[in-house]
Amino acid sequence: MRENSESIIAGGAVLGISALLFTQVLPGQFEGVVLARNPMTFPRFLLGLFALGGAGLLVRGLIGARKGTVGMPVSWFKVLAILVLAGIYLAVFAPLGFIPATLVFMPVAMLALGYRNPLVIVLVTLVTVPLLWYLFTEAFSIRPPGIGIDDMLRQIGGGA
Amino acid sequence: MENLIAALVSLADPVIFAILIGGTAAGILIGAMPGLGSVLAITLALPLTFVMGPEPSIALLLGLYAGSVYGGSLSAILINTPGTPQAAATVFDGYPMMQQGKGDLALGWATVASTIGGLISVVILIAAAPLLARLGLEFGPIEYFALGLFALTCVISVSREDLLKGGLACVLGLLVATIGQDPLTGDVRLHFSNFNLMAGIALVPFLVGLFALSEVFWRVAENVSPEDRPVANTGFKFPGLSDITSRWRVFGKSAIIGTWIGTLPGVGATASSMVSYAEARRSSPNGDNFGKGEPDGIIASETANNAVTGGALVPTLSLGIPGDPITAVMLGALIIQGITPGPRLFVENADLMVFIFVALFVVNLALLVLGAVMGPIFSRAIRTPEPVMLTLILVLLAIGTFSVNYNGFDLLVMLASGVLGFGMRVLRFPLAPVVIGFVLGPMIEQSLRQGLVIARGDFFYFFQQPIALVLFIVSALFLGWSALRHWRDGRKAKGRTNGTDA
Repeated sequence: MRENSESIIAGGAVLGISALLFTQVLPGQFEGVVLARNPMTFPRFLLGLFALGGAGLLVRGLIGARKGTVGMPVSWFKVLAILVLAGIYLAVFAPLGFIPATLVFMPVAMLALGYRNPLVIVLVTLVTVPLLWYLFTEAFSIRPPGIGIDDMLRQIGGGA
Repeated sequence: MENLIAALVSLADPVIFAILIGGTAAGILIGAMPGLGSVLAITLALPLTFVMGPEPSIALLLGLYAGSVYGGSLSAILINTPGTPQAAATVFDGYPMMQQGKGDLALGWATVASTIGGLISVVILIAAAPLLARLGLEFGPIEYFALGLFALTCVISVSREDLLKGGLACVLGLLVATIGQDPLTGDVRLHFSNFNLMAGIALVPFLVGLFALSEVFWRVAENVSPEDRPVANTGFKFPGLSDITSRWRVFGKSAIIGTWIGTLPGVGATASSMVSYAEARRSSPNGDNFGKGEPDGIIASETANNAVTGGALVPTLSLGIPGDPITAVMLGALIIQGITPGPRLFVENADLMVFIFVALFVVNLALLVLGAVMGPIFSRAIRTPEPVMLTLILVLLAIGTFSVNYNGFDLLVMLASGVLGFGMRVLRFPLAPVVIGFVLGPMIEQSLRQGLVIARGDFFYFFQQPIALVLFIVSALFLGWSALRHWRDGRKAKGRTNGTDA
């Protein structure tokens, strides 16, 4: 990416965030409250600074004084893949439960990242999931969401 | 004295001691993995501190902190890749020693230097922190506001690549901290009518996302190779006692440089090891051998970067001002425990302060043993294929963050912060100012508004307070000097480009 393009994108992003946050500090219920007691004083001041800085970045990019190539080539496909996978995993983590979500997520993520040793993938997944479950449940007294290994064992025991 | 005995008794508790040693070992392991680093080590553990008492939490975090700084030297020596940025200068002489077949001795020097640097910095921490805290007791809201501003200025000014981006990152951190309840009146603001946001953005998911999750995305973006890294196996060998004592000047000077730089907000361990390396090269009788496998080079780098651990805790504990992201996360962990770092800490929690000093001392001694016994084993961990490691980290982040509040919304905050952090990395915004701004935001806002109440709305009253005035002047000088340096660097670079073009 060229440096001036980077500044334009960065400046645009900062201005976008400023605009989004600005909708939350519009004049409203706190009008007339003295400066020191007004909850909006500080955020408004910061937003002003933020927007000003964003505009500065944008102008710097548009003037384009420095045009060298900066940053590194990004493997966007892999990033997008892991972002989508992580998003799905985090979204289903609580409703589906730690064990089933992680049992599916781990092998899929390793494959998506280009790892192709099936034995290691299976072993790492099968060792990690119960180990983490046990560690959190027993050592830290934090029960991960969803069905636990103890529940499964009870069901197996009850079924037999 | 009774506090010291109480601290020793606490540390003798098998669970706390095991946590301390386990934390140090885990820190070494994470530090040895290229790119993971101290912030990731501590943010990964942050959710766990919720279920622990203050002492085990502190033991865990200090172990991770010192362990990860030391761990970076393993990969620096073994594979010519610093595990953490702090170990960058260790590569210069560590890897040449490895190539000469003296990798075992290089690991020994790194371990001894890290231990000595850490121990000296603890002694300085014990001496300096209470003095600074005593000064801090004189502080009112206006002085705290000036101090907060000074810390932010320092952090921004070290964003050497781009001062404007450093400043924007800092303001972003301050802005995110304003989401939720107003610290003074309790009114809710910037909540987008979302019930979860009314309570504010929680520290753990925000920090974990911003640093750790974005690190995962970043490493994926770097197009990681699924192949194992080539690692040469090596043993471990301590240098002789006479060799160590004959180099006491390098140890002493590097420890002082490291501790001093550690106390400066925003400068950090990477700069300290570089400054210390340059100074050792200048003053060492073996200066000509630097870069060719000279132990003095390893000593200078490793003593200084581990000495930063004690130095960085001086302003964090005595004034409540974190100097870098690592101490900012530690500050957050202490706040989670209901402990507010600052001058009152030395009065109200003197026992805990002594525990911190003793624990940091023991952690540094543990480095010596763990490095010797497990260094070669840890070095094998560097072979873990990156896709496996990144997947494991992602799972750990999810379970750790969820377990803090049992709230699925925290996972979404973590994801959003991760995307934000990744975007910032792509656009080359520094992350450290965001976290410092986020952690210091409530204190700065509260002290500013309390100060305005005291001053009856007259901001010029702030400049009539001597301590605050000094801090304002120093902040302005710091920022002005950084801007000037930035401008001069830009001109030099332009001059070089023009010269090349001609």
